[in-house]
Amino acid sequence: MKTKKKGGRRLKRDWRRKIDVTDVDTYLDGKRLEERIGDPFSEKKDEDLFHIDTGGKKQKPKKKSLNAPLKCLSSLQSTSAITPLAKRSVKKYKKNNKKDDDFDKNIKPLKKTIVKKKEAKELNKMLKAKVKTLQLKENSTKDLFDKDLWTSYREPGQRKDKLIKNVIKWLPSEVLNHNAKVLPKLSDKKMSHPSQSTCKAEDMKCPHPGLSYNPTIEDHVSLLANIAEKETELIKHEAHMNRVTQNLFKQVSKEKHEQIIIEELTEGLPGFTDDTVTEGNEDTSEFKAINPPTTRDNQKTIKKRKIQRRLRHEERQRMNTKIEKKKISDLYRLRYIREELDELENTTNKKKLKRLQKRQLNNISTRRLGTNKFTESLDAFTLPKDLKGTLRETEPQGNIFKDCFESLQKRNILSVGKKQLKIHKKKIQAFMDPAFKVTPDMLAKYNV
Amino acid sequence: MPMQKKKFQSGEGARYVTRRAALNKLQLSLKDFRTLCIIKGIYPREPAHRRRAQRGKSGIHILYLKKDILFLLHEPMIWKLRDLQVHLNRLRRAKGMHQKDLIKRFSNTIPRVAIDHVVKERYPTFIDALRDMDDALTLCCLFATFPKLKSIPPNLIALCRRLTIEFMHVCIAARALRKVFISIKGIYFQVEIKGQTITWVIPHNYPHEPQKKQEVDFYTMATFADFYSTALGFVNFRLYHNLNLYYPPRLGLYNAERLEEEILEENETSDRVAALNLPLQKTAEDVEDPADAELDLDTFATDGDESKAEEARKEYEKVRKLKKLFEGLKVFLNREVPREPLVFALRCFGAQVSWDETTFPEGATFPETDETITHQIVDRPDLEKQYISRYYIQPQWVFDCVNARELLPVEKYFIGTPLPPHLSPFTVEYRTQRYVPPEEKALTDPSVIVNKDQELLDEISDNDIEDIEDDKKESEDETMDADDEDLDEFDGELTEEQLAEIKRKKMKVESGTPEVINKGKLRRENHQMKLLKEKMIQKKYRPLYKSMKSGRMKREKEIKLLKYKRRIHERTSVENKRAEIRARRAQAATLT
Repeated sequence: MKTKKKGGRRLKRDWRRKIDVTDVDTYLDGKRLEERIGDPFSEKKDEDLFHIDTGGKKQKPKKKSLNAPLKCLSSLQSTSAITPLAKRSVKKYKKNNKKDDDFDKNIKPLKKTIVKKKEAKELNKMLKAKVKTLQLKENSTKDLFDKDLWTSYREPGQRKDKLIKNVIKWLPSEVLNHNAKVLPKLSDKKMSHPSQSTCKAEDMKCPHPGLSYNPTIEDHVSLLANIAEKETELIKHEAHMNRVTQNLFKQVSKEKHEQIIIEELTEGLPGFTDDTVTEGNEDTSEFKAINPPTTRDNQKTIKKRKIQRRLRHEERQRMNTKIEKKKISDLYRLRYIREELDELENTTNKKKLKRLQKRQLNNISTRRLGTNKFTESLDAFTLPKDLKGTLRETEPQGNIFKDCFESLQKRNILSVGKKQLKIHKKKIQAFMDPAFKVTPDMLAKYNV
Repeated sequence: MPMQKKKFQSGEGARYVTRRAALNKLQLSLKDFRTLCIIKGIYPREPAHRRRAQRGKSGIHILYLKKDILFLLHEPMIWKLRDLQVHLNRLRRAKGMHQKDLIKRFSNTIPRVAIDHVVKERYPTFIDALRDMDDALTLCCLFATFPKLKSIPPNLIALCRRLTIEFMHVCIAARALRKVFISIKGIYFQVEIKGQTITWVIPHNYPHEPQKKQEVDFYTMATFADFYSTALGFVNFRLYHNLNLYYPPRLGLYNAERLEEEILEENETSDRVAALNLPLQKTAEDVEDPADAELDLDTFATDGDESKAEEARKEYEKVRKLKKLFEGLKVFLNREVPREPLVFALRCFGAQVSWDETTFPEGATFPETDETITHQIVDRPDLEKQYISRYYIQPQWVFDCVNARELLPVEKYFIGTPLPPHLSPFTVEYRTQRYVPPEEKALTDPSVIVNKDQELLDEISDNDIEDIEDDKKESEDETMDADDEDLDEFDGELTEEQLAEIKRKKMKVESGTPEVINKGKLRRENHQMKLLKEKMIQKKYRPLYKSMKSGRMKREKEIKLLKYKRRIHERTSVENKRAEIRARRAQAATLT
């Protein structure tokens, strides 16, 4: 009899140490082996294990069939008796697309009837084109706008963002906030659209009554007057710019300019200059500085210094008495100070008001967003002689597209870009085939 | 040692970023960034202190708010844009390598960047979207007229055409048009939908004139059109469903074959839809027609101000009448008349319209020979064959009627006659107080009689002057006669009636007398109340108020002066005329 082992009783491990499980293990091993290999030999019938040799003579070994698997791969083959649960690594073939089905159904029989190869090709092309148009139509029936954006009602087929809502339900808010940086979708907080007040473009909304194709005389005149005013201002500005820039400099003709340059460059050279002009009265006196240093002779005398000191002292005294006097007078002036303060306040208030008004004006007006400043172009107009008064004969003026673009710029939506004076086209580098190059020899050869 | 405070880490310098920095932050190309900004509605800003905002750098950079850029950072569209860029790169490479199959594959599978969510984000409510439709419609109408251009995707042009036509259809169905103005630039329309007025321009029907590229950036405008067309599509969807109409629109009566045809037809505007002449099919029957929709204004609580409520009622009544302005008219459009705007304007007020089939093949409902036609719109000096049963009028009549909100007399608009001026309905009175001469008043309000001196002269004129004879005078005489007759009759029946009245008086409850209001007292009280109100004005606004008040006084004085001058002028002119007549009479007397 085995002696009882001493051991702990607390843990599972201790109990396992105590109990002998080898018999169970061996039984289980045997069972597993049996499962893999099959029934044990003892249980197998004789017919399964042996066979009666009736042939006697040795037969020639059969040729190995090429289809049989290689011997070296036998280890990879499963010998176990357990049937696999499912066949693995079987490629699933998708069913043919619907379109292909259509093609097979409709077009293949058609194709069979065709005999000639050329015709077949052409027809094939046509058929393909037709199929393509059909496909296009299928796509086009799906409308881009198939839902109401501004309603909470959801169509039955419409997808709901289930995951996000479910996740949000059980995640604590701290976690959500932490992860929101990585996964912005998770947070239920939406970034609100930054409100940006753009100035109102009244010009688009209210056309000037003088723009009518058949305006009243007053309206038309006022419109033309407006435009003329703007135009005169422009002309004035241009004239001013000319005066300030171009007219400041003397303009010289090209020939004269060249002559001047030559004169300047050859000045003093013996061959070119006219030596007729003699320099008569040259200053031959000594060099003299503008502020020569003082000498001992020019020193101030003591008397002079004393007088200066006394004068300074008297001046200071006079100033002091003046200040004292001012103090006393200020005391009397106290009652007027209030008035002065009021006045000051008044002026500051006025300034404040002006500033406020200016700021409000600024909010409405166009602002400078980029390098270039926005300049309003002139409105469209017709001259009185061009006004026909009937719809049929009126000629459209102005450019709505440009107006749209400028109104966007005016409302601070677009920054004013540089005006493209010429369109840059890509330069295409061209090379000449050396074979086509014309050489002087060739010219000589053909007597050109 | 405390942390060193660096410059521009807080304040204005930290609040703004340059465009370059924004590009780096978002990892986008400039082109993509521009598109994104336009679609998301983020615009550059001007800082209060540019030097500070640019972190001490001189010059002018394009600045964005940092907040805005962070807002852009969260946009899922950015990923789509990046994918698109990769895809386009592949396509470009395939093109360069002449790989035909790859080119085909890549060009067929260009990813679409959906911007539906952005529309919803920018316009949280439907009303917001409607408010921004001005630009959208103008731009879409313009793009609809473009031919195939290199810088604009071709399907965008077709989409714009389709959407504008659909919007016009919905305006017709809702009878929403309010104002029209033909300018030399184009035709302005104003509709009112859900209390929002939407104004847009459609260009005149002329062949496309090539635009100068240095004036307008085509690529930018195409992006705007892209966004606006999407917004317009969803607005259309909602408008159609609000009116119980099918969207994409279906025309005419229900017919299975037709329906199929309609669906099979190319989705971009078919001619039948573009004709604007057939009623849209409804999803539900027995729905109130928007033209007949009546609103019981009495049910609305009027908050105190009764005059305002009265005004609103009057306005509503006018609009109700306007909606049925052309009901019962049968109008035929001649060949030279612009078809689309006229059909739109006429159909919006319930007229039946048709045109020559040769000009526009689809949608013409009746031929020119139809005798029931009431008006034919003609824009040429003369017509060879004319029917007696109809008026031949010029197109301006339609637009003037709409603006005047009533059917104007047709005499001024007959074929070949010089037209009266076409006034703008969009006049905004910037200065409310100004002198309005009676001639101008008469233009807007025909009830005001302009020339009074003619009447004055009539009064003076004696019987023996036969030069001046007026219908008015005759009518006056007639009325006078009628009055006399009445009096005579009354005299005859006087006795019986008097008796009855005396009898009745005994039983009758005395009729109430109107309350005597001391007008002077009332005025004084009002003035005092006003003074009290003025006292309540804050000190900082007082000078502003004062200046406003003085300005008002000044303008009133001016008006008074001008009126006075006008009166003097009229009186002197009348006197002159009178003197003339007298002189003439004297001459006549001497002659006889």
